[in-house]
Amino acid sequence: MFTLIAVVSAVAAFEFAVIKYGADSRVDVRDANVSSGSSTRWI
Amino acid sequence: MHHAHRRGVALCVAASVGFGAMAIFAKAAYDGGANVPTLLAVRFTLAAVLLWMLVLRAGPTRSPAAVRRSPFPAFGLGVLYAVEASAFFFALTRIDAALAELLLYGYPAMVVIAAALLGREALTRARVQALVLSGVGLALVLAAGGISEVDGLGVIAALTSALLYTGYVLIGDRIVADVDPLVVSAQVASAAAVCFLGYGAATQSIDLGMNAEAWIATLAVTVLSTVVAIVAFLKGIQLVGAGTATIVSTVEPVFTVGLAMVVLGERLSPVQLIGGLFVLAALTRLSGPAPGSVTEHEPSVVASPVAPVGEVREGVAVGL
Repeated sequence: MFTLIAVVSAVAAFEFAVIKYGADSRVDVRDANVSSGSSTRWI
Repeated sequence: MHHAHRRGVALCVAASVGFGAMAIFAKAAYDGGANVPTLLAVRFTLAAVLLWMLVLRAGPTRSPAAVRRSPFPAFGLGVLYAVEASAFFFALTRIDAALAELLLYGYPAMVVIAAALLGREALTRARVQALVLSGVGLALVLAAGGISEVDGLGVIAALTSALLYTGYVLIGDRIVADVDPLVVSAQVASAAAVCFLGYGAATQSIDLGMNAEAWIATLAVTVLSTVVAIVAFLKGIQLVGAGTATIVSTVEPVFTVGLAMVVLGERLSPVQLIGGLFVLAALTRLSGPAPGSVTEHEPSVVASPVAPVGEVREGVAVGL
């Protein structure tokens, strides 16, 4: 049980930390279906 | 632009970590008394709810082409995905998580073979090399582990899940093009939820009386390894593109194998580890664009076979 909680906590902490780090108001998951047609990034 | 690329890589790594942890969480759920129908019914039902909430929160899609014509193709894919998930999660009840994951990652080579047989994509030298790498890798993983000591049914189930996922990719590529991938993920999860709830009701195999450990593991599969990982992946691919995302996705099987060794005490022999490296090498070899395909200049990537998100081409979601 302790091991499971540790692993779940570590994975959760990592995922949410990265999502917060990678969060950008100009990048939306909906943009996955907007053709960029170039290498231009949002930033 | 450099910061955006770094963020995108980090997001893809986070997604792969989430996907990769799924097999370990599933094992923990089984140890806590969960069975496959219960785990998957809870997973897809809650995931569907959360994904639809995210779809509503995101608001109307900006791409007119993504306004869904009919949800039935995606729902049909969801049924296929449910069968694939059943095979993989059943495999996890019989064989080690590391072995199951490596066998599942034989699917890219199967996609290449099937696409060539269907006349969709040409077999280039790089793709033939990837096929050889994948075949040798899988053979080493199976043979070096002492094939007679491995549960044959579990191996067959894992390979079946890879085959079914191959069908999922190839069919989805044709029937749900230009659809918001988040919407399709929600549709696929919804269909899978209906399948497992229906199966569970018909066979009376859903048992929510799992212990706390099983519930924690099941919720981890749902939230961390499905919903959060999907969102991270979709955000990440927007920043780094499909080619880089494919290479980064090799973190998933590596993480599964490593976590299985540390947490579950699973051990792969040195030869099996080499076989695993061959499988990963095949995946990276396939990360380039498919020559002869309509979108030859747009490499495609499949998020992960363990989550209901499929193929996204660079800059344009082709659905799944």
